[in-house]
Amino acid sequence: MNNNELNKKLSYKQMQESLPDYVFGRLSPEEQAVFESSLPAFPDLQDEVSQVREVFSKVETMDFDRVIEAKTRNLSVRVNDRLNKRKKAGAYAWSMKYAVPTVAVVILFAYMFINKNEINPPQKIHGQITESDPNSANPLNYLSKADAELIFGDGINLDDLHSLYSNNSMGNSLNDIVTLVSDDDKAIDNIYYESLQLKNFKSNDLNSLYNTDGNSMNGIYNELEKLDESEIQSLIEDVKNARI
Amino acid sequence: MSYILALEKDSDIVNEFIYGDTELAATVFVRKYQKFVYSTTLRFVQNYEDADDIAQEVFIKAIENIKKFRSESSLRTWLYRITTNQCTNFTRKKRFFSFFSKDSDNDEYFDIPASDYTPHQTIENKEFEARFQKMLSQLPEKQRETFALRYFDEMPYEEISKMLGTSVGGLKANYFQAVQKLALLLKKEG
Repeated sequence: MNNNELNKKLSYKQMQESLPDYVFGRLSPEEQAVFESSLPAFPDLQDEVSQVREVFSKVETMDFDRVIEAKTRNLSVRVNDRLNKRKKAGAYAWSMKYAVPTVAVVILFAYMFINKNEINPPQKIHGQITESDPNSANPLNYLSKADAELIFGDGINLDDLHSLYSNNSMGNSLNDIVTLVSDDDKAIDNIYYESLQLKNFKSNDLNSLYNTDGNSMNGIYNELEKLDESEIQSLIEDVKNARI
Repeated sequence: MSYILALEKDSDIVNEFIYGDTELAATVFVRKYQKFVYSTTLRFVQNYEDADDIAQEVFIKAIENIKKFRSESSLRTWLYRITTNQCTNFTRKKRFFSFFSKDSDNDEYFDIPASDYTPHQTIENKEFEARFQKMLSQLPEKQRETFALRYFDEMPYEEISKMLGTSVGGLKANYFQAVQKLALLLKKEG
């Protein structure tokens, strides 16, 4: 080491920053020499060096590594085992991550589809099950010609009915049907019952045409909705045999 | 065995992961850094069992992502970041669940294995080591980490600076303050 380096003096801050490394022997020989040559200028730092050396003497004899070595024995084996287990579980975890939500969505759609069908249950007319199709509000889907004429009375025939139902505006079609039908209350009730099966049914259209109190109307609605397929057939038979 | 010893440099280890035997590379990788990762984890969580579990997770995470390692920093610096993140996540979870649990397993931290000393010396050393670790845990995180990385791991300031994101001058100041505080605590202990 040359004289210039030995003569170099460190500032108070530089001495503080180098103090721990000096006490614990981590300075290079040159750095140590410079530190020691600057130390006499700072008596408080000299005391600091003595104090730290004294209290850390026991720490310096401790073997902290021993604990760590004991605890990390075979850590590489354990890591490899865990890694291999994760790889095997990976495929299963992947399927659980995507399969479970997919199945849940499928079940949800199936439930919604089933519920939708229950609102429009299949109709059984003349012994044949006919799927109600709310998009096709055509009485021809679930009424025979003879039955339609009986239900709707003499004032209307199937062709008129068909041309009305092929009109896209269902509200207007219902009004038009009612004007074609006789004043027979039973015919209007039956129209209302059939219209329950139609999509976009507008109850207000028929309510306004039926001059009776709400209770009677509600009573008829309730009664009609309770009828099953055999009862409707029986009703049709009665109407056929009726003498007015 | 000699091939394992040949994988010393970080770049060799990374290449072995990418082009060679992954399991061999993992073994070398873990053995090289296990003390560093484990001791860092232990400083954060102060529990041997938790430190072991977290250390394994750190290595697994590192191994799963090592192909993305870009050598912008050293493997050790990269591992240190993964370790501190894992410890932070663990501490958060533990704090949340400890609200519902009254168990305290901090005593396990003082269960240091026996050595070649006499039984009396062993107990004394055990107790002193435990007290010193506790004093260390009382320091602010930056001072504690600077002290541990410089004193225990003997890392250069430049590397510690990259790990902790602090300037070299700041690290030296942290180191001095940590030593001062520890000296005061050790003096009180008597």
